[in-house]
Amino acid sequence: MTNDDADDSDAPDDPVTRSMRSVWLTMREEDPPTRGLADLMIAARAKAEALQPREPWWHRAFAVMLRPPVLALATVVVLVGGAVVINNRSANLDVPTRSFAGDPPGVEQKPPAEERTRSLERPGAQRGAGSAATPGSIPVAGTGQVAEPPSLGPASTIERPAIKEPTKVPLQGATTKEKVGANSEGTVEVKPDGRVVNEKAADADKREIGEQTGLDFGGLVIAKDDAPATDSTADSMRTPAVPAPPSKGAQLDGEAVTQTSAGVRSARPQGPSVEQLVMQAEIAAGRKDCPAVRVTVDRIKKLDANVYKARVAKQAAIARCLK
Amino acid sequence: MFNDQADEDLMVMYQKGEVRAFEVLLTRHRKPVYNFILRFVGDRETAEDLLQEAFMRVIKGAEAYKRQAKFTTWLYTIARNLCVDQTRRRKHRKHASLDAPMDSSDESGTLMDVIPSNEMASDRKSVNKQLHETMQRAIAALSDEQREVFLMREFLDMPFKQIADVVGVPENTVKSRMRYALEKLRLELDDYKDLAKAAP
Repeated sequence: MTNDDADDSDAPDDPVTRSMRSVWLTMREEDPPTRGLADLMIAARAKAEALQPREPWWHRAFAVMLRPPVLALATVVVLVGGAVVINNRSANLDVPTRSFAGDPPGVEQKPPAEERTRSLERPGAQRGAGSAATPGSIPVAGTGQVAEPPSLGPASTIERPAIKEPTKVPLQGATTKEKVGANSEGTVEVKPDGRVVNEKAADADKREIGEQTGLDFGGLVIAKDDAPATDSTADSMRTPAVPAPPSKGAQLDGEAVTQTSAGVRSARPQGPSVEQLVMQAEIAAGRKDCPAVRVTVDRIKKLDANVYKARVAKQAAIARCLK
Repeated sequence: MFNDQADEDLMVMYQKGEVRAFEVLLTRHRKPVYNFILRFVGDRETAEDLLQEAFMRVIKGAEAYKRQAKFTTWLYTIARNLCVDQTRRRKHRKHASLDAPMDSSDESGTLMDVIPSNEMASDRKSVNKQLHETMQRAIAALSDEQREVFLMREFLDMPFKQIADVVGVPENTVKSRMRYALEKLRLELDDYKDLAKAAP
């Protein structure tokens, strides 16, 4: 007996048993036939597949999503969805408004015919058109000022407010500069919106004001871009303007219209405020740019004589230039 | 890699879907299980069928296997139950094969003994053959309870505890059955004592 278990002691182990054991231990063991072995292995493989642990559903779903066709489909969906959203937003923002910037008189706005037609077909466009046709002042929110009514083209001519480009874009034939004087430091001009600009000194002004106010005037637009376009270049510069809703608080036909940030940018006052003119006069006086000082002071006098008396006339530098 | 693994580890691997583990188990246990079944039922064709059925049951019940249990205990429990069912069916059919014991009260052995054999035990090979045939007849003459215990103890070298687990009886019962089985074999082979001594 080969077992070394403790219970082996109970097994009989006499000479007769040993001789019998020697007989049965020499009995040949037969090999099992291979018949049915293949069936067993087929069944074992099938069962093994069933026994394999299944991945969680989210793991399998993630694996499916990583396949190229699914990724391509997802890309197409995102692109189409993005295009739809942008298109919808564009349609919402495409409320025709009249230009808040003063258009030079006699210059007819020429939007593309199809855009004009489309604008007139929309209810908002009709409202805008009606508003544009209504003469009168437009109160500009926050400033307390009343913008001068811009000269409008025909009632059906509706123009989107142009976004002021941060860079100075020279527009051929678009200038309405009015030369009022010249000195050694440059030409002094009065813009259609009433600002007085000395081209050569403008950059110096911007630097100085930037130093005083902490603002970056590097991209300040001096020349207006709402000058009448006389060629295709000017038209092309005006066309890509982003449509914006009317200015906040702007009363168009007695109707309050919500203003967006784009609208704030586009709804500039017609000209520089008295404060700005005073500042310009001070800076020009400090620079000893007397022609500019004179022009600016004239504007201040016209706008607010009290300010002129209280603040401008008392300044020695300005007074020197005015002598 | 798989050949060095214990049976229980291989079975756990198969439970995780590793079919190669089952292949190793099949290679390792197919022959001893077949011989156990063959000595139990005494018929090759039946033994083949029961062997196939035993491993099919292992496959089907793979999920139910617990790592704590000894694989051979589980496997031989399946095989033993199949053998017991088979012998019960055979008794019900009252169909006796040539190798099957004629009657439990008949001490003359099997039908093979009745068929005259002209073969003389002229050499050692024939002596061994005669001894083995006599031993097979003696084993077949044991009762099912004694035979299964005897086969597992002497041919499969199982401890009594494991045999008790397979058979589902107390360990002392297994020892008692073993004692009775050996006594009966001794009586059966008493006439062949001299031949047994001459055997290698």
